[in-house]
Amino acid sequence: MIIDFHCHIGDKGEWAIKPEQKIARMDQYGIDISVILGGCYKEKGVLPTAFSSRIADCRRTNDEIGKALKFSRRFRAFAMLNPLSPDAASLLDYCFRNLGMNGIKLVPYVLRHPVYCEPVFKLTDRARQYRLPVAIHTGFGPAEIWDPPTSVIALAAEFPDVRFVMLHMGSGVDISLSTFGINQAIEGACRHDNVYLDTTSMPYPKKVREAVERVGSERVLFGTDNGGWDREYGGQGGNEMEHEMDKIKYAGLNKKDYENVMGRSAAVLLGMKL
Amino acid sequence: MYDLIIDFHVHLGEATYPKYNASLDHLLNEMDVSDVDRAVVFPQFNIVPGDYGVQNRWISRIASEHEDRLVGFARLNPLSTNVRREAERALGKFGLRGVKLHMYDEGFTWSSPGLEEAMSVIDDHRVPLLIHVTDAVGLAGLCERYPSVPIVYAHAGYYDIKHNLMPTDAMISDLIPTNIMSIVRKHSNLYLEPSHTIFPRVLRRVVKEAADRVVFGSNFPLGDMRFAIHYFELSHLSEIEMQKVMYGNALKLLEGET
Repeated sequence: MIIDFHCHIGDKGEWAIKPEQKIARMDQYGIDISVILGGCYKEKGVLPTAFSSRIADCRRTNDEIGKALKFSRRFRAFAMLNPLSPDAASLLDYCFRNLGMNGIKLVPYVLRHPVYCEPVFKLTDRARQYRLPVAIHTGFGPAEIWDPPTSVIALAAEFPDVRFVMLHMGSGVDISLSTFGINQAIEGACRHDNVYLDTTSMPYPKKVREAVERVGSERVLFGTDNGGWDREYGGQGGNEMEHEMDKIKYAGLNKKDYENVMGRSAAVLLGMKL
Repeated sequence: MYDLIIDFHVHLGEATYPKYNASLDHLLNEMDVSDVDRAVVFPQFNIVPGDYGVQNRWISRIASEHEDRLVGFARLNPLSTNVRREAERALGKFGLRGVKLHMYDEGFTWSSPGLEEAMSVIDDHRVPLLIHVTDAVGLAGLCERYPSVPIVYAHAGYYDIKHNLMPTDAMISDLIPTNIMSIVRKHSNLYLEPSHTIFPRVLRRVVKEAADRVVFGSNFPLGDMRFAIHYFELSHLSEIEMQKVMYGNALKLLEGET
């Protein structure tokens, strides 16, 4: 089973892809299940060139994703939340109870809130009550002062019974120092068994292998961070499926570890029956 | 598959942090299994002793012992009081064929006097510079001040390169507002080495526009040479473009034909 733990749908820019189109792309690449970590939808009064995931109306975005969940049982989804919003907790309740979502997704560098702050503590506590994992964008560099791996590690230490996924395993959007971010993410996951690593955007197969050897393939998750179409460049939007999939192939993992990373570990995290 | 493959970004030797050590055997083995013919090698990051004199001498010796496989570059620390002398020695007596500078590792800035000292020696010797920078705006200034020095931009700007070529989606351009390709267009001495980038389609666009100004690099030992080559293959370049980026442009840089 192959599970893409990190992808997006939406109607905006390079992220624009409808659920039925996403299913077709999953079939093309042999993906069984895709986990939608936030949608990117146009909003009234907001330029289409604005941050794709800087969303004001989280409820609408989650409702759109909820439609995808109804469209196909091959989708799973995490609730896209803004911890600074007064309705964040009630929206989480709604996403979990009414839409059947499987976790929380935070993008601190986009929504401009630190990982380590009271509103995130409250949401994390809520996630604990529901036994939901919390997936957080991580990066390391001037562009990502909001979400370095160490901040997720601090959160994981204080909430040992909540599972955290470090998206991009410390290598989000900023190149300049991201090697340090990758190393921090791996170190943190070594020290806290409630921390998982998502391989998207991180450039190096060797670091996938290091993560598997040191953290264990049970906590390393393949994803694509794939969107829709990038018309400007002529190709897939977001990260490209083939590049992300080949990165895991080039890591030189044994069969068991490869299968864990490509889907089995995500299935366990999502509570799926194997 | 290709006539020749030259990897323009290879760290070699012992680092202050042993985790980043890269031995000669490790390198030659990775080159062999990856079908990489030659590698531009330079010292790994070292805090102490600071001027890279010992490491540059070692690189010079190793490169001369493996001259069919390795091209030695000096690493310089512009914050060292010894930078001019070390640059003269490395490019003169030791015969190294280029220089690597790293702004984050060494901690120098665009206004560090030692940078100008290093650059004047590089300029005198007419050798290429491979540089990892903190911002591309400052890099444009360096290209302006030293137009006869071929300057290779390590990692090619990563996200900058994507999001600033793309007017329809300025996702993070408010964070990193530099347009890399505008600098490439303006400064004919700027080259791009795209290791660490992750968008084959963007690499394709860059090569389509500037095929004579892109060189292949892996960022070994962190980077995997085989996967770095595969990354270029995923960008679906023409045969002529691949010849240029995999070795042609590097040969010109190393032979001073730019």
